[in-house]
Amino acid sequence: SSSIPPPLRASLILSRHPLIRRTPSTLELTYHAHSSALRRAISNPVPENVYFSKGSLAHRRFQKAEYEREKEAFGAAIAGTPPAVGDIPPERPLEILERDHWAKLDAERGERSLERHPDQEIFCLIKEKESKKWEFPTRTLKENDSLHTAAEQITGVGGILDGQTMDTWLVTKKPVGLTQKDGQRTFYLRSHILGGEPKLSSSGPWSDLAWLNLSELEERLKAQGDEPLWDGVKAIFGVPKIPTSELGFDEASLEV
Amino acid sequence: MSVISLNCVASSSRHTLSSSCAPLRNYVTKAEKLKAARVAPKKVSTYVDPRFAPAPSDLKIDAMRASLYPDNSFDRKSVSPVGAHYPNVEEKVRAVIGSPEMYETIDRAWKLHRRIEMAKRRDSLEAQFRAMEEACDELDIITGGPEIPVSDASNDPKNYLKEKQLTGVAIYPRRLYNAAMVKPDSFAAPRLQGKKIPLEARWKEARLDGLIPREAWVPVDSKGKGWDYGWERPSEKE
Repeated sequence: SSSIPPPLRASLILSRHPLIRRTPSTLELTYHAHSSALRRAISNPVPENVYFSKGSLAHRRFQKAEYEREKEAFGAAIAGTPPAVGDIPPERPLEILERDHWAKLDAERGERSLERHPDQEIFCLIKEKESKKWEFPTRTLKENDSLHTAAEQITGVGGILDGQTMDTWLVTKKPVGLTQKDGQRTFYLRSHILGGEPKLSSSGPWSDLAWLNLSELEERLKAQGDEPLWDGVKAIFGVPKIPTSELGFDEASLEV
Repeated sequence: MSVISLNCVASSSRHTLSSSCAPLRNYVTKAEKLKAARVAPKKVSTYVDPRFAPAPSDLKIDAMRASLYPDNSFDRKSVSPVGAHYPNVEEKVRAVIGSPEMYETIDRAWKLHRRIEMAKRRDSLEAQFRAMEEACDELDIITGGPEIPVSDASNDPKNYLKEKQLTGVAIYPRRLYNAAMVKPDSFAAPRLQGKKIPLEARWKEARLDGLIPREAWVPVDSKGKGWDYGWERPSEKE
């Protein structure tokens, strides 16, 4: 009964923040257009004689742009005739890039690319050479180790992911999740990558690295038979045990 | 005076009363006066579109004042900022909304969408918090169990509830829990002094414990550059 307890393990959930704002759905875009048009309909007329000198270039640009906005909101019939502004010298053109511009340029890196899914958070998984399984970067605690010092040995200089070329930030020293397997406990800590990229040493036990979004992460863990691991870990990513009902509330809670 | 007023009334109602019906008397009855008033032509609207109103003076302050405090502030078509509309406001609103049923359907659809979205976010946050709580509680239990404050035998108020006692059986050392639960103090580290401070030390000093680093930026719609793969750790180059 005086058996030595198995050492604790510290796993790191290393993630890259989303780079661009989330993509709005079609419903959201349509509703915003409708709401803006309604606001435009009931708003005050703009006192142009206050803001512009009559006939100035800025005034003509404003009149032209305002006509376009009225046409988009209410249609050509209500917008009326286009304003007689004559020739307007064009403004400096803005270079508008596609939302996945950088992701496309970096496509050759494949799953190692840190530009993947720019509007979502992506998480780091590493592949073991022997078992060929994907897992979170983990370190077993040695004597005089604490959870955050073990995490620093993963992302620090000379660690599993070689912190020399990577800038990371440990969010907190407190664990954010826990899984147990055969009496061995693994605590999960959260960290974010701010610059550079991780590099696995070729002599180490890991062969490959991937940056995956939430759905890809779930797929990969389930495909390699780690569904109990996913069930234990999914709460850290905000996936509830009982999915939210379609109506947004629990019908049983309603008084009938 | 009555003769003058008679002439005025007669002239104003010239186009309404035919010459054959012209009265032969030199006075106007009350009924005729009322009738003349009722069929009098409507006054032409003095509304002037503010966008094309000629400014009385060149001064911008006068134009602003006329815009903010117009003479006809109580008129429905006034340019007063409180409650003014374009003349064709009803037409515009109808073009956007369509029918009342259409508007109500859009409103209810949006509110339903928002309710479902907020419920999902709430459930997601609850799951994350529960996971954090369970992990921290487990760490507490395996390192000796929850601490309870114990009051000192002496009646010294300074010692009241300062003593702590572990209530469980420790499988792992308590320092693991204490190290995890330490409250970060951003300004606890002393400022580095001296003329020649190494770059790495300065970089580490700028990373305040417990605060979000400035390299973590808010997602924006457009980023003029890609990911910085070439990031170099600050160090003194020889």
